[in-house]
Amino acid sequence: MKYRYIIKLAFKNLQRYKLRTFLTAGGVAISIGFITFLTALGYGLQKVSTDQIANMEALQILDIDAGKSKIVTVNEETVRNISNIFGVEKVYPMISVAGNLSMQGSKIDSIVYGKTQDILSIEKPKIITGKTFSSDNAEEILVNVAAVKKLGVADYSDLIGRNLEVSMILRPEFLGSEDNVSKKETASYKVVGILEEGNAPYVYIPLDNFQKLGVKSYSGAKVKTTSRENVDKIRVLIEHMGFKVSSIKDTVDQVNQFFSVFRAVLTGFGVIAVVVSCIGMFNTLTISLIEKTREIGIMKSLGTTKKDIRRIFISEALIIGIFGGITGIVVSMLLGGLLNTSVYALAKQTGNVSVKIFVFPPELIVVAIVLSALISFLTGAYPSRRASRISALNALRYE
Amino acid sequence: MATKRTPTLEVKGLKKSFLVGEENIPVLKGVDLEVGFGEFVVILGPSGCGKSTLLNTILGLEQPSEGQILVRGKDVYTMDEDGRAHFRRQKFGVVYQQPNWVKSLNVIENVAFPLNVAGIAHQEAIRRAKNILYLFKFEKFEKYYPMELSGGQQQKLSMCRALVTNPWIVMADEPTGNLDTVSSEDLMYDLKVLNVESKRTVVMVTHNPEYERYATKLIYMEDGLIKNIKQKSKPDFSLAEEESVIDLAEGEGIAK
Repeated sequence: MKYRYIIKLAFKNLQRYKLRTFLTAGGVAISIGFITFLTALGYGLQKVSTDQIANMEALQILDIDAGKSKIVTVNEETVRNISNIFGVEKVYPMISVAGNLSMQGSKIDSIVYGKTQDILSIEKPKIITGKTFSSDNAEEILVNVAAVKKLGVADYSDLIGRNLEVSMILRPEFLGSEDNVSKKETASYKVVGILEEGNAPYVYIPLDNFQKLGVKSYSGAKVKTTSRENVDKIRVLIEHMGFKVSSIKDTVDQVNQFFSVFRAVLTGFGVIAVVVSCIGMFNTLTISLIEKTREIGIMKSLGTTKKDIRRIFISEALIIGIFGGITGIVVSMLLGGLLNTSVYALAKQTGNVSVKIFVFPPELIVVAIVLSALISFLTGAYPSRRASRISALNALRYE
Repeated sequence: MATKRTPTLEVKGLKKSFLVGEENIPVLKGVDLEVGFGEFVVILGPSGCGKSTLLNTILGLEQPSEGQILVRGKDVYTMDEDGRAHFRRQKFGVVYQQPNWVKSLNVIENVAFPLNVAGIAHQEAIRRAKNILYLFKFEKFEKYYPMELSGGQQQKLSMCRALVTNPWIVMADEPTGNLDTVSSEDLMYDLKVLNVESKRTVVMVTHNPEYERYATKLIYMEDGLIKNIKQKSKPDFSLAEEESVIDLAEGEGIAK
């Protein structure tokens, strides 16, 4: 038999029992649609999270922390050594110390960071008002909103241009002194910008200001690598130097890991639906086989080979499976698109940033189609094999 | 010079027994038969004498316990199941007591089915089926579904289906078993016309002695054995005539 004829015959057989075909394909559509929908949700949510955490550049960066160790310190020499590692683009030292801010009688605790303009260009902190430092040795300061609120200033833009007194506790390991005594330094800086993020108060001042106060070592550094592929290798090398290294990649990996599990759970629900639809399809095909016993008998006595009988039944299963599968995929994509549009509309109304919570990557569609074909083959295998093995004479005698 | 021709069909020492429970029941106990080209063979006998088993064995549907079936010298059971299916669809046309249809196909598609099975392009299969339906004056029913027709019409239709591939031998198993007298006579007449005018070999199984008159060879079976063979006339065709029918088998429609 020609393949075209087998497909045609399979279609005609299915058309004879329209309702049954429709219901069975419907079952497949629901299960494949469900699994596609849930997996797309998993992908979407994962993408939303990882996009927020990191842009591509951030994944190339390693954070080095000297910790409280007195043996290894991040100083000019270590910065140079790390810079010499193959694959390192640049090393940006930074410092963070405990301190307090005072202005017009109010005094609050805060973390004081020493940062260079370079680092800020990588970190891209959100500045809601004002601008970043004019130079790396300017006596300027960036304050976050949480600090502004604690200082009792109602409108943060009022703060721009005013001076803020900053006291810092410089630990001995930063000063490189032998006497093991912390030093308290106070200086005044001009507020040039307001940072958006953070619930606890913190401020940024140019790193050079710390050096002016006698700081010789840093609390850590950021290492920018030339490519993402080098990150893990360089990380190991730096860890061997005795530093604690972390990377935003860790967080992203963790998030990805979480979402793999999350997606697997969602897919698991979908799998249950697929199993149910498989049973339904298997049932339909077996019933249709029993009903067609006499037909199989006459087909065989007219010279149809076992192989062709098997192909007819497998084709019927494939038509139901693929038709159902594609319908399911299309419906889930339409539904996902609709929900994305609703989220967009809602985000626009409430003034939030819009996100796509359903993402249908091409590989998901391909896998879903392959899955529907696979279901068809699996559920069609037994009935079609049985059909091909029916003895023509027994089948013709079958009532 | 007379040439010894190969018989169209030869049955040699055929034995067939069925295992029922633990008992082996012999149904055919050694049947020998020779059918020449263009013969009309009627196999008569009471129920259970093994007529249908003989027919099914000839068709390659029932593996014999012993013996051989030769169709123009070709041993049918040297082929595997699919090989026999292949052979059957080329050499045999079958009419059963009960017409069996592929229910999702209409009249013309059912008649064309054996051609489709043989892998002939659908358009061509339909065209040949149309020719047959025209010959049997069935063209007005081509879009009907077989189950919508009467029993007699369905039997004629199953004859159309049996003939569409231009088989060497038409096998009929009680073809009139379910028909009234008029339809039966009608069908038998068609079979006879087919036999005489297109010189096609017909092997028919029946328990109705009335049909003796159509036969050129009458075979009486009893208890798994042939009791008596009555040769009424011996047609004597030349090889050239036989070739012309074989040619038709590769051609189209039915010979007239």
